[in-house]
Amino acid sequence: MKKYRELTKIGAKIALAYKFDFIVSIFTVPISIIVFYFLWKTIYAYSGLDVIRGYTFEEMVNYFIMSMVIALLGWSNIERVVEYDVLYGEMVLRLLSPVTYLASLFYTEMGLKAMSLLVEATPIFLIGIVFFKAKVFSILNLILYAIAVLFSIGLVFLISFLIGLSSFWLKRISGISRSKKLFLSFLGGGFVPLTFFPKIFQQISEWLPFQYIRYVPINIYLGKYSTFLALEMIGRQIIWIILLYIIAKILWNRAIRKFCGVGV
Amino acid sequence: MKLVRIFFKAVTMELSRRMAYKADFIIRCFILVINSIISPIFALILYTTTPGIPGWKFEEFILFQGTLIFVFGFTHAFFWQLLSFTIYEVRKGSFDRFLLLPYKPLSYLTASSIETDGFSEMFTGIIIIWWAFKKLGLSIFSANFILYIYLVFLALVFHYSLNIITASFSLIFIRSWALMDILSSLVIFAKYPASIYHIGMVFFFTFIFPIAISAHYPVQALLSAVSYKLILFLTLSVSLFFYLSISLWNFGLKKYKSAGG
Repeated sequence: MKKYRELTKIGAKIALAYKFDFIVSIFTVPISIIVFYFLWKTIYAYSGLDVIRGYTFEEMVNYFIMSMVIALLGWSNIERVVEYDVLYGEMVLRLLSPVTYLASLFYTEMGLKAMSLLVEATPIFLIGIVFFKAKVFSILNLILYAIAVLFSIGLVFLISFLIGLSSFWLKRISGISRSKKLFLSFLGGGFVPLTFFPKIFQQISEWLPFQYIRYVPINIYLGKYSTFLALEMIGRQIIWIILLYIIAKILWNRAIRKFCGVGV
Repeated sequence: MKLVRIFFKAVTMELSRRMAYKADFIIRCFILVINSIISPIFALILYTTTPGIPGWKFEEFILFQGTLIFVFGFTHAFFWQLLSFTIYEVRKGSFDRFLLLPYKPLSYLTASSIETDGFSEMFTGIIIIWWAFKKLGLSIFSANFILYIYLVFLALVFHYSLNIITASFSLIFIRSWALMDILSSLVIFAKYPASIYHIGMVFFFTFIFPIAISAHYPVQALLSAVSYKLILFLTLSVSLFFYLSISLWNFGLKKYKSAGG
């Protein structure tokens, strides 16, 4: 257990070394919120409707702020780390350590997330409450949301790791990595709730892991699900995590057999 | 003339750098096209589920997005490296090599900065603009189109200045990857027609920090005649912005101590 704690500490220290890059999001994220706020204010006023696709304007603003909180916490560039280790042969050193590769990446990442919760996510949440009239709908929902966000971080981590594994075959993966963030937030309902998408798309996304990254946790926060349904949704998140973990294990075993540790 | 040669040299270098990993190069080009299509898809979702943005029909909004993608793509292709080079070299403390060359540092950096990613975005932008032109029945043989081209040109000058200003800040403050984040988030203001903002903000984005020129005013000029007074004012404010950026750059060069950080 001690070695995992040390890895987490390392992650937190990395975050501290780059504290300016973290703090800057306190300035940049509110800009996105302002743009979103004005865009939807205009649309709601112009349409004359109170509820569009199941969301009032107030819920919509809350939706976006919570989406930003998840974006800050769930952000991961693990695939670049894997790519680096493969390209430069650093993987050899990592394989010598007594912790499995996946675990060492995971616990370092958790250290980063802990810092990000302190200096990014919480301030943004408070800014949302003070300046954009975001509100906490109920304490129970907030707790369920926090749990769902935790699993959402796990999902993003595993998906990023899977993308990273592709660098064993494709070598450089800067292209895929570039669009990962955009795709995950688009398919996960980061821009607009998934109810705005065509019916067929919604049905497909029921069977994909992406909606559990943002759409589902935020809806839990907004109280769109009953407590029972919210718990079921969290259960589905766990099932997806187990599934992705198994896939990652299988692919990892195949990839490492291919690896020869010379760098490419 | 030598700068032109440097430019073509830079193009070949960038291409060979990217093509070193062929699979990644192809995937990257393909993905960048898809990336830039996401905002028109968002527009489609917006217009099928809501009445949209007042004063903007769907095709007009697509024209807006296409223009924006083109302007951003052009900026990406020709001005971005200028900024990332400066930030990177200043931090390493090796920016001096640009000062030793027989060219002005800014001209050299501009001529040698090129990024292939921007080209797929520009390409996508032009396709989208072409589609919107067809749907709206616009012709390229009209006075409005000349105004459109002129305003797009002004938009490019504006984004060039914005990159120079950020690069100057990196000369002054040394540690500055965060600046790049701030720059790219300021640009978000240009993503939707300026008419959605509060009237004070519209004034700010037109005359003081003329970011609304990125796509809003060019498309407005194309669709409905924009008064010549406004165009004059826009020209003035963009020129002022450009002048400011050059002065700031020169100030930054004077301040630069080649210590790294």
